[in-house]
Amino acid sequence: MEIITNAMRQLAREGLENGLDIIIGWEDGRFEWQSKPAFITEINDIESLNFNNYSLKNLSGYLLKKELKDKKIGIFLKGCDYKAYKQLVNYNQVDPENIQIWGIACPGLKERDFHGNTSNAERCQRCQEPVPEELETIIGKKEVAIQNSPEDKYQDVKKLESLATDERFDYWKDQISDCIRCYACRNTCPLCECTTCMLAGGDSNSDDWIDSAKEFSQDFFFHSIRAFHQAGRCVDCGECEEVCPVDIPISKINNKIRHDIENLYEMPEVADDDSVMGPLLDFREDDPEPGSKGGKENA
Amino acid sequence: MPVKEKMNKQIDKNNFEPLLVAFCCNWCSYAGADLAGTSRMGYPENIKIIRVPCSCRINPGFVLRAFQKGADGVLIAGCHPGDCHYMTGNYYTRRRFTVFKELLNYMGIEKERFKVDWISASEGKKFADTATEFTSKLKELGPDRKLRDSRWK
Repeated sequence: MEIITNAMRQLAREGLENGLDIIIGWEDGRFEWQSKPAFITEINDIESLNFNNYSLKNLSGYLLKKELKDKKIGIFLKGCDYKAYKQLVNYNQVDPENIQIWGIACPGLKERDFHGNTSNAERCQRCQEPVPEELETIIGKKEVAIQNSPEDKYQDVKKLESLATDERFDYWKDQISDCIRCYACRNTCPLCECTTCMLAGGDSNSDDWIDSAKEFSQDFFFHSIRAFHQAGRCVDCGECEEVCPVDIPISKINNKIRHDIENLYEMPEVADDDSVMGPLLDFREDDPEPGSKGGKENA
Repeated sequence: MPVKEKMNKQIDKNNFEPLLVAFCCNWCSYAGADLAGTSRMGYPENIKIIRVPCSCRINPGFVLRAFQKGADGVLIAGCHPGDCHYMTGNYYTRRRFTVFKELLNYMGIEKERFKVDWISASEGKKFADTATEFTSKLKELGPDRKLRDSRWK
């Protein structure tokens, strides 16, 4: 961690001296088990940059902020952050010319629950690409142990799938009914790039798809459609689940969709071809029919 | 209370008429429904047809909204893949709703309640059969209480 922090400070200093307007990184939070994003514009502030065990925050979402438009930005990205960044470039949401990226070989991070127990972060347990290998500059040791094999990545989803339909519904009803509709999952998602959300969040009189009533069907609508809007784009950075104040297992919804798409369709390479933006914006003539058991797993 | 118990309590299976909402594409399935009518093929009146320009016009939100507002089942009907009036619309429908159907099932909605089918303009018989089959399936399943908005009357 210290190696990464020192290299970060060094690179940030060089960046600011060479004409970057702002550096986005992490700094320590209030307690030692916290970390928060840092926005550095002055060389004097560089010492506050710090990469610790809890620097989970995906920084790529900040590139969408209108305050940063047309600024020259330097940003530190871990493996999962970089995947989100590539999607943003793919959907023409950011201009790569204005952005200097420094990759971080992520050693796997920790999270702390409300009871004070520390464990390996769930998203890191599922992570398959902790190192953004395509980048020129990568900080830290490139040999990082992967915590789970690709087959185990979806074990939560598979466990849930093995239940009966009504049991699944009871599970989700139990979880989703807790939702207080703070929309933090939507707001923090680096790939939720719409400026006005079709689901909710316009002014209170707007003709949104969901209203403000505390009603299970509305909560269900929000969570299923929010996840579906990220279908084929979600990079499983885990931000939505991390910020949820009532601990709804949002990643289990996102990962179900990811699992299906990976199983049924070939994922087009991101940012390589302008004509193909994502698996749901593409088709083959011999795609499986809805409801049929198709895909690689059942081949 | 577990859902199943709650559902059984409210269901009067002998006296239940399901509401089936069908989104039909203007060019094939709606014409197919028309053909079923003009050829005097009977099909249950539980089905309410909503005409859309192309099956690709259907937003997954439409499906959930239908369930919220009282539908017991939702059918999406479009041209056969390859026959789309707009060339490729229904290929996108197919991908989208394959994923969405899996998602609904994963979140606990019976997969029989939501169906995607391809019905061409000449398949009046297929339309009538699909509607009949779907309605009888829904009668077996009983009313949908899972996604219905409690404010709906």
